Amino acid sequence: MDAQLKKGLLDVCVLAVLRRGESYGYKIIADVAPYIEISESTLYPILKRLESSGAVTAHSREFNGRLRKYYAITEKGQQRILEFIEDVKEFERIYEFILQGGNL
Amino acid sequence: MTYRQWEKTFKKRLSRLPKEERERALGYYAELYGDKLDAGTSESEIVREFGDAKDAADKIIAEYSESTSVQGKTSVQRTAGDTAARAAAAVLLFLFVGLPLLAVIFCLAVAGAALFLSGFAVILAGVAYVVYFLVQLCMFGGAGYAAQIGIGLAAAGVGALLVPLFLYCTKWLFIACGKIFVLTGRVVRGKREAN
Repeated sequence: MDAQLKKGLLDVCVLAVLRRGESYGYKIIADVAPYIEISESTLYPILKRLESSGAVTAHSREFNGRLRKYYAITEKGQQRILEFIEDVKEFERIYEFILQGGNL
Repeated sequence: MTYRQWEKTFKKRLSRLPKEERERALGYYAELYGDKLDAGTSESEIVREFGDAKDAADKIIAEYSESTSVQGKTSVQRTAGDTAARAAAAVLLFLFVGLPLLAVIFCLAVAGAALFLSGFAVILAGVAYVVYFLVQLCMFGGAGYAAQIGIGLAAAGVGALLVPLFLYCTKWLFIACGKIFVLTGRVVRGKREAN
């Protein structure tokens, strides 16, 4: 898969996981991994990017005597998912067009 | 490899990043390590999953460079106004730190060279002393002149003994000069990278 495309997909996958409720690094990887390849080193820049763009918020909370960072989706993040769904619909039309050899 | 070893390599590789950024990345991996341990994964397996510490650090550095280059244009505009202040600070730094430092290095170098030459000067003086009183002895004779020749030879001998010592001192003076240069260079480079 194209690296840029995968990057965009991963961003939305992480946001989709956070739609269920706030989550943390380890759990996000566990939830996303069955659908798309993701590693620890891949998730770090995604979370940082989403946080700096305002798509997610983060706060640290103590767990088992250590700090754990929890992420929650924002309104902006929800909007991003909706935009992605619209993009996919457009892709589907383009896909059909390509599949039919340019004859629709 | 243990997690501590992995973390040490990772941290070292991230040293070029600002402290806040470094702490954030270290915190991220420390949290994952804790969660994986709680989930029953062994330390060696976790380290294997994390992959090469240098590669993990390089990804973070690349991402950081990418994000800062995007903000680059605005930060350039923001810092453009500081150029005059920076130039003034550089001039003051050169006048009150750079020049005295150069003077110290120059003096140390001259002292080193003088020390080195002084050993040979003592030998030459001793030999000259010997020659002078040898001539006196030939011309006028006498035990006094013979004693003076002895003193001259002793002086030349002392000079010969001093040469290696002075050479050693000179060598260390030059090494000290070089270290001052290197340290100054590191300080300047460090400030540049931090900026």
